[in-house]
Amino acid sequence: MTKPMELLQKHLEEEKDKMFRIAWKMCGNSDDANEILQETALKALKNWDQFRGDAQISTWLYRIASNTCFSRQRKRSRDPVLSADLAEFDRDPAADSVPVDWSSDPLTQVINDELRDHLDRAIGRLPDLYRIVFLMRDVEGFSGEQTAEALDISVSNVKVRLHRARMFLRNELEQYIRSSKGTANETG
Amino acid sequence: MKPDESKQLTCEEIIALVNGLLDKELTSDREKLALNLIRFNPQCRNLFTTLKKTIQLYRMRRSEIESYPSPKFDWDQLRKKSGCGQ
Repeated sequence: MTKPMELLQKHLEEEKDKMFRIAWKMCGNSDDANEILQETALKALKNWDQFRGDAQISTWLYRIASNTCFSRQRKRSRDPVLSADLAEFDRDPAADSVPVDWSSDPLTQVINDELRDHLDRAIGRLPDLYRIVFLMRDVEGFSGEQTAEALDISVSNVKVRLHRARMFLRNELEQYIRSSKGTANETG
Repeated sequence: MKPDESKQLTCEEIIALVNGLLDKELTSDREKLALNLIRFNPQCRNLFTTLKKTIQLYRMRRSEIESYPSPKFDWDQLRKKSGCGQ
């Protein structure tokens, strides 16, 4: 049975905002995000006849979008943190000797330009597959299963990558707060 | 769970409990265990609150992007390029 093209268009229209936000955070700017979105729609239209319904249409679309993102990222020169370094975060989190709770620090209460830059820079340093897992799970609210299916990895792999990404971003934020306080103390 | 019982948990168990609590994916028994863990273990409490804050900040950053105009598809153009016709 021929699948109506309108069905695909409907799904693309429904998912485009979410897809655009993920693409923006993956490539760092709105122009590239828009190009990824258009490329995803074009690839989906071209391959619609081959879609067999093994996955949900939206999952299939996110798989196309993430592959489009990854292939673009490979062409760009970046300096991401190494995946092997992120594995450090699998050690005992209760073993840290100095507990610091900076969650109520005034520096984290409002997103100003400095904090915004820091958040963007930190997430930009994550390897692609860690960044997209964090964005899909924690920022956009996809389930572990949806994320795993869209990225063609296992649910346990999603969990491991999510934990490491969270820990990396948390540590980067902690360093930012420490260094900001250090600067304030020096100047104050 | 008594205060020192968290020491009997393995590293994987602590990570799974803290992340499970963040994701609200724990059964009620496991949730109770996780809540006790962060109550009695300051390192785990610190880990939980700061991870929660980190996620919260990135969600706030997302809502800034949400205010950006929604992207548009030119369906006629896309259909033409894809060879799907009208």
